Amino acid sequence: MSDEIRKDGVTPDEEGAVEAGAQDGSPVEQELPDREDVLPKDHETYTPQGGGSGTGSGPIKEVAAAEGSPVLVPKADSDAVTLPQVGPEVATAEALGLTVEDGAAGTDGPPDGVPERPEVSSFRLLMTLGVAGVVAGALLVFVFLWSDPLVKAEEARVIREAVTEVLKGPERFESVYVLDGELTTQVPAGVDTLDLDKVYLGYDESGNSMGFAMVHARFGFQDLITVIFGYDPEARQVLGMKVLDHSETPGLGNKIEEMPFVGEFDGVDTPLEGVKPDRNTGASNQVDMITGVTISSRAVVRTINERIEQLGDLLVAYEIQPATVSGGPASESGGGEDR
Amino acid sequence: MRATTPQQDFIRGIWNENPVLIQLLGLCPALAVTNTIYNSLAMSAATLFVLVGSSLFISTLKKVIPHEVRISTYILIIATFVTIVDMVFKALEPGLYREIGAFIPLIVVNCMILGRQEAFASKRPVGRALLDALGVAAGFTIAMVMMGTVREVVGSGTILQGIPFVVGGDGINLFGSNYEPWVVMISPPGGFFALGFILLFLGWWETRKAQKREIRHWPHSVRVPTDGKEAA
Amino acid sequence: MDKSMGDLFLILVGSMLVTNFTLFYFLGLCPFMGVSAKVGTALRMGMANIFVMTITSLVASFLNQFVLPHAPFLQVISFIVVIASLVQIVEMTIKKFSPTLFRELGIFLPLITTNCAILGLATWQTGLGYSYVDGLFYALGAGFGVTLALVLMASIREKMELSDVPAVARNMGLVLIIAGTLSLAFQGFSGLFTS
Repeated sequence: MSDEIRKDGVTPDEEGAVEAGAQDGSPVEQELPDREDVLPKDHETYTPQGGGSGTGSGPIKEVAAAEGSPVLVPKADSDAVTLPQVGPEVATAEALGLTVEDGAAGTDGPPDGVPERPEVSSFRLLMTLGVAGVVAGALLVFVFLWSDPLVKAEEARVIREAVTEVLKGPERFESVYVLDGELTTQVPAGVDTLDLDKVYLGYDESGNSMGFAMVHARFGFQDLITVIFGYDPEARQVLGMKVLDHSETPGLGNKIEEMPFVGEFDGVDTPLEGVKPDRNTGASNQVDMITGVTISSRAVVRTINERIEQLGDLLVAYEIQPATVSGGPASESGGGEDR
Repeated sequence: MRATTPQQDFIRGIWNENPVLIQLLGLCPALAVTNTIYNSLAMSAATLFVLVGSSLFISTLKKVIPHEVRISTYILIIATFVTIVDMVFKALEPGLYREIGAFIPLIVVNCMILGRQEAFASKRPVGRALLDALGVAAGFTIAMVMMGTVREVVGSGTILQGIPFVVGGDGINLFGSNYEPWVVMISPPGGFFALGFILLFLGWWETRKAQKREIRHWPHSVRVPTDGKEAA
Repeated sequence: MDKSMGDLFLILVGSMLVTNFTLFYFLGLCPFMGVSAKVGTALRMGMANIFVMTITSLVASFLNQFVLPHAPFLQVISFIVVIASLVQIVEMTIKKFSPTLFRELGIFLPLITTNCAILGLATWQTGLGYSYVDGLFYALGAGFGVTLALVLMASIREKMELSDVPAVARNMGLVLIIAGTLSLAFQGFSGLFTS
């Protein structure tokens, strides 16, 4: 069985070894027959797999040598060291150059006896790559055109759900962009809306503003925590919070996405202050941290505070248009019941 | 080249040359996304698609691809398939994509895929290449599911968590609510531990087998006294 | 994105310790298992990694700026092709200008092409929205982190060579368990940024 493994698996790195020997001048090829005699040294064992310039042509030939199976070495290690009865036959085969033929025959000018290969014109090489590239590109465009609308729809759905949750059920909402230091729904032509920072403004049935929903992310315990929260700039209150994405410890850190922590953010004055539950003095801006998850909880609080700091003034200054004027592109407007 | 039967081409990838357990290739996904069985299966499916697709393509086109640029072409083909899988996943399974999406592009550099193309698909007829790809993918899946099972059962106390139609996505709770899950197993160190223990177990198992029988070529095996019964 | 020096430093330390590419994201494991038996080799592999990572990061930022807005689905292909070409070019350049350096590093450079860590770095840097300066620090941190993990692993394995390991365990299983312990240790870096 190991014969198969060696021969099939070792194939690519054979060429690597051959090439390496040819190019680097380092005694790489001899590694293979020696393997079962000597405990392979680290760099020596690694060389056959990846040494030299690989097997094919062009920039990717290293990949072959590298891909060959750089990690076959550990297995080969134990093989070589502990099953001496395997060693000799394989080593002989290798020494005779049999395995070289076993693998992909030939490389660029391999020194061993390898079947001669007719010269292939550069034109043919380029054509192959070119055609492959074009076909690949076409295929990808096709799949992209199919998948992109689905992806965008999903993203829109997630945002819609989140905004609805943190603003406590607005009738609809629209995107308001941050442009040149102020908020506006009018984006001049030529400016990609994806490049702009934005907030979501929710309206209730009578067209009154229900507050802004904003997204922000900061480092938590493990990685970034992305949070969306509702904010009323007049009353300077946080209306609700939802964790969109996090990598916190399962079972512990992920409590930040559950009640009761999420509920702590309903109607809290800003700036928020996170306190341990037993130190809560009842002040209107205090939020209870989760016991044992201080860092993640605190990160959420800080995220919200930071975002409010960034945009608070802009939000207060923004004049909310009357309900009859609906801004923003149709795909951005909320209205959950229509979908 | 040594002639192999179709069955051999298929079985080889499952056990003898299992990419994860024997050859230790494809470790990145094996450790990263095996925190639940569902994620393992999803990643295995993605890898299967890429492996089978690219093997078929490359085996069909092997005569057309000039030798000098073959690696570049293989990479191009593999990368195309990976991108397709990535887009399809993102569109069809957004929830799953959030969990394992970061690691799907890394299928491109999964050593075992390019290794198979180089060693096998580029030299064999399409049918054999297909069998080989299926075998390796099956072996990969088995290894991934093994790891996923260990990690999920010990690390969350559930099985099949995340599959939408099984208990609404929470999975079957195996140990009841008193079980304090070993969270370390679904964290990064758990990946290392799970695979490490599986490999140790394999090594032990092979040692036992080798002790009982004639000489066998076990990849994980260690030096075992053979009582001079050397069989070639 | 305007970031202060402090923020950049945080990015670097973050990707080096808190989300160590090898011990947290499981990238770069092929060389990790194979190369890490000797400290010297491990160090050299790590250096090569840092080198390639920083260059990749810059190139990835460049690609992100010009190619991806128009064709996001070409991300994987363009990254991998660029990385492979880059490594080839880098290798040839080093070989030409500093044969000694080449002899030290050269063997490892081709391996790095298929090192998950490089492609992972490029892809995730894009996902995080880092570009140029941020990305550079991210890559430096990642590179240092990988080197750190490699060197730690190598020193432990060197010691292990001399220990009395039971025959049954003398395989990759033990290496992985040691890696797991290292990973566990690095978990302690979580929460480093309570800024």
